[in-house]
Amino acid sequence: MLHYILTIITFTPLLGSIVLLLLPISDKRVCRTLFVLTTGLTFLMNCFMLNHFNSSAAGLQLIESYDWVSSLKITYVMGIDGISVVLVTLTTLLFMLVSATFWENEKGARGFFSMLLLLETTVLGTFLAQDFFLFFCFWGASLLPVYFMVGVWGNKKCEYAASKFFIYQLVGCALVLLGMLAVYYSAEPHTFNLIDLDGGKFTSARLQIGSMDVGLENLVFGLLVLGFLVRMPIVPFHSWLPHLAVEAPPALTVVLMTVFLKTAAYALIRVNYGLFPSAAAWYSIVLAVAGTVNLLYGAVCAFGQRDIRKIGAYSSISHMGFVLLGLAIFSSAAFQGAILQMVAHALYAGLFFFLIGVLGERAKRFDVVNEDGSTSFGGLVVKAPILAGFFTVAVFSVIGVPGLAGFPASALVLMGAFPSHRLLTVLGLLGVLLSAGYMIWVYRRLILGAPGDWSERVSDVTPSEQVYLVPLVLLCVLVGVYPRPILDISQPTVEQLLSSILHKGESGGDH
Amino acid sequence: MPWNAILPELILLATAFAAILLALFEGERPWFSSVASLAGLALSVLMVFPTFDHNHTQVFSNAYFIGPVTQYFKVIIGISAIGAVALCLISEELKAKERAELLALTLLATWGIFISISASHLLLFFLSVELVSVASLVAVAFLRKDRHSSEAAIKLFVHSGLSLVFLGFGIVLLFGITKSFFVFEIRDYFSANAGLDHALLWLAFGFIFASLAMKIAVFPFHFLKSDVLQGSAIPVSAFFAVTMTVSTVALLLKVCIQIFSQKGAGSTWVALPAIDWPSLIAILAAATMTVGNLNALFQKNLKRYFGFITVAQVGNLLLGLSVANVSGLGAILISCFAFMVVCLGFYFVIQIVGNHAKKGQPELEDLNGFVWMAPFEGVLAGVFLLSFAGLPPLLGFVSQFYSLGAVVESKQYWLAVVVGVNWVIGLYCFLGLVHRIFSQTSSSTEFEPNWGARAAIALLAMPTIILGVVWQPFLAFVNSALARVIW
Repeated sequence: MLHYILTIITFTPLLGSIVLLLLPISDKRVCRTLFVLTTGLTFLMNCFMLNHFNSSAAGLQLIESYDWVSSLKITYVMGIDGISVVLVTLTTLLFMLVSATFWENEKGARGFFSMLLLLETTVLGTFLAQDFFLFFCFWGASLLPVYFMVGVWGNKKCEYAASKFFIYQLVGCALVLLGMLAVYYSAEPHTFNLIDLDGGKFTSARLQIGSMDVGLENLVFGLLVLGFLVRMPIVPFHSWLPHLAVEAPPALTVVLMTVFLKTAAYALIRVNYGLFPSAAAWYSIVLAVAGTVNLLYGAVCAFGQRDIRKIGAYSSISHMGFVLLGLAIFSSAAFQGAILQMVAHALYAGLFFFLIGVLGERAKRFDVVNEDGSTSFGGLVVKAPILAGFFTVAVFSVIGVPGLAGFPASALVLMGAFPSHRLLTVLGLLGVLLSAGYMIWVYRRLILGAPGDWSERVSDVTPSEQVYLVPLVLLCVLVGVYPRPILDISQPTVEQLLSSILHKGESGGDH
Repeated sequence: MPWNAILPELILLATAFAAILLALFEGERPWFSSVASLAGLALSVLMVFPTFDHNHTQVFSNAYFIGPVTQYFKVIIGISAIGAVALCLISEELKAKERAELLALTLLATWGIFISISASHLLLFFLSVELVSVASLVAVAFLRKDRHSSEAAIKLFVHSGLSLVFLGFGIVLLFGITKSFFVFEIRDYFSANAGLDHALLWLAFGFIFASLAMKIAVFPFHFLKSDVLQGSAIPVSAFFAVTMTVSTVALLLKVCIQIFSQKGAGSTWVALPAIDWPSLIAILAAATMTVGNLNALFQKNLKRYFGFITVAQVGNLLLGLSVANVSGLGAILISCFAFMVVCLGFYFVIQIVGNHAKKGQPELEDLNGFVWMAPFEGVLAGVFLLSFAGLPPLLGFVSQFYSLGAVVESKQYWLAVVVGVNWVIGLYCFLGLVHRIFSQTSSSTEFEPNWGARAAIALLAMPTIILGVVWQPFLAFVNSALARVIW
């Protein structure tokens, strides 16, 4: 069974989704039980895989490879390495925690849960696929469940948010498709297999466009970067995320913020850095500046929001900027910091949006302040102390206070960036300061101070809700105090990737 | 005379006459003639498969040509005709006693299409195209009391007349240049004489190409299609959207490759150097796609919407011709099959909606909340639309990917960018429809299940989903058919 473990992990949620759709169940509780069972089973399979994962080996492990469309050299290849193992574990864990939430849907709970399971399959497939075509299929297919969930079970302006999301992502997909075909036809022999394409085979490849003769690597790298990073989301293609955060059902918002955004960063690492190491070195400064712009722009925009979901969305944009900054600086500390930031962000953003979901379920209101400036909620530390305690952990993790998950991540990124990019490091610190600004503002208005109009409706966290909140709180603290396991497991792969980029970057290609 | 080579055509002709004759002896409910039509069509399609072994067989003194590619198109057209006939049977728009006439017209038009695809004598080609025009014209005008139908028929009459005239001019010009009506003699003449007058060649090609382009609504002749599809009854609309489109693409393929090409290196072929039709078709395909997608965004009538969607799909289908090599041809074959399956499947959904709404002109609003009223059909309607849009892992994505791959391989990057942009626009068009189907605002009651439609939808959804994932066998079949073609 170990040979097929990656396929089992990827397709168990799909199986659950099909079973849910086909069985004539109308009872919501049975649907939920099936959902919990499927995600729990996937998580168990993941732990089993972790057990057999060799954390001191760089490169891909547990590879499965079959011919799929042999005429076009498309293969079904799945593999896992130190970076993807972290992300896959995160995905299975978070989907399992989402399954414990009790936010009710009016109609068609069956369809909602099956769409969530379909989303899990596509996200896991994106992390595990090692064939470009297979990767693209999962990448494109992940748009559908999100669109359906937002469009059918969303809030008032859900159609606008869903269409905006879809169009942005689709333009990204179209760019990736073109880049993928350019890669396929430039490779000798033509192949889609990422393992075969890896390691800088395109350094001297050129493309004939009309009467111009351009270097293939930089052009296709740029095309793919744009296509992938629409999902990160990179400023100025980020405006789909705040709308989605507001209009999507809460369970979906959690999954989107924690796991979905990370697929973009992973695509950057696996495809762009893997296939075009010397172009990566060339684009380094562009990506670092883009990351810093994200960092600052997201933080500044968060100041102007009243809706706490939008604040969370802009905060996510800002912190994914941190990830991009870390990935663009090719030093071990910054890269590791970026990966740790992905994990930490998933944990604290997940906790933050779970708590927003709890708040929303009680009060059905998400504004931190009313139109006239007076506080909506307030004094929740008295009314709902456990909620306030969890919220404290979330807020201070976002800021990056030492002892919680955000600190080692941002510290590593900034430490890694400082030697080569002083200005960007200072701007990054400014971003941290700004995040403290808006988060403390939210904290004061929600938790401290005198009770507002809506505070009576907020009752404290029940034990059944603590089932999914407490693990996240504990993980936030644990990762903040002892991030070593995550850093150790990803280190060999990161070192190998960085050495290939720096080596190819020095020897250079012809640009 | 190898009778087994033309067995499908003979069976089809017999079925057409049987449909009329049986209906004469039946009264109000032409049950026998309906069953005979379906059975005859199915038998004729089945009989095409053994003829795949015939490679470059010519019968009737070289006037009729059988090869793997022609038979492949006959299978697709036969299946889509079965779909159109099935739609006739479940339609509540048509009176039962008139149904047999429509069946006969559909069968005769299909027979005409079979002949036109295989014709290698230009006069036979002209006659069969004329038969198809006349039969389909009467089919469009079938709902005599409906003003949309009559208007569409008059427009189509003028349009077809012009198209036939152009075809006639083109054929006569070719005869004038080469002194022959036989397609292969014309091609050999072009290969042997390189120094022909380019203007004359362009004129001949232009007339024939314009005639066929008017039939499938390539830019700039794209205005009529949506009118015709809106005006006709839904079964006829399906026939026009699916069968006529695929057949005319096959005819365009035939004209470009069998007449205006010459032998290339090895066993391949290249376009005639005198006429650069690949570039012309590239520009027209790009324009057609864009115009179709943009116009579809603004439609409120479901059949009209599908008219413009079909126009956009024609642009997609022609991409393979703009590449003008074997992989482009493979792309056309795969795309035609994908288009047929998906479009026909969705027409069954349109028929169900039309029957329920009790109007011949279903609006887009009639689709609101469709999935909650008819869950099985609704989910599969969503699958068809997403396949049309070209999302992985469905059949539509496979065909789109293959076409785009052929375009990128031929280094026409501008066309690849246009296709990419149209992919996004097209997807947005379909998104609106998908959203309607899944929206929670359901205004009407439950649908009564129509088991014929359900079976058809399920049958057509199976290749859409399965072939989207397991497409190597299909690709191998297409490649083997192409490999056995003798130029």
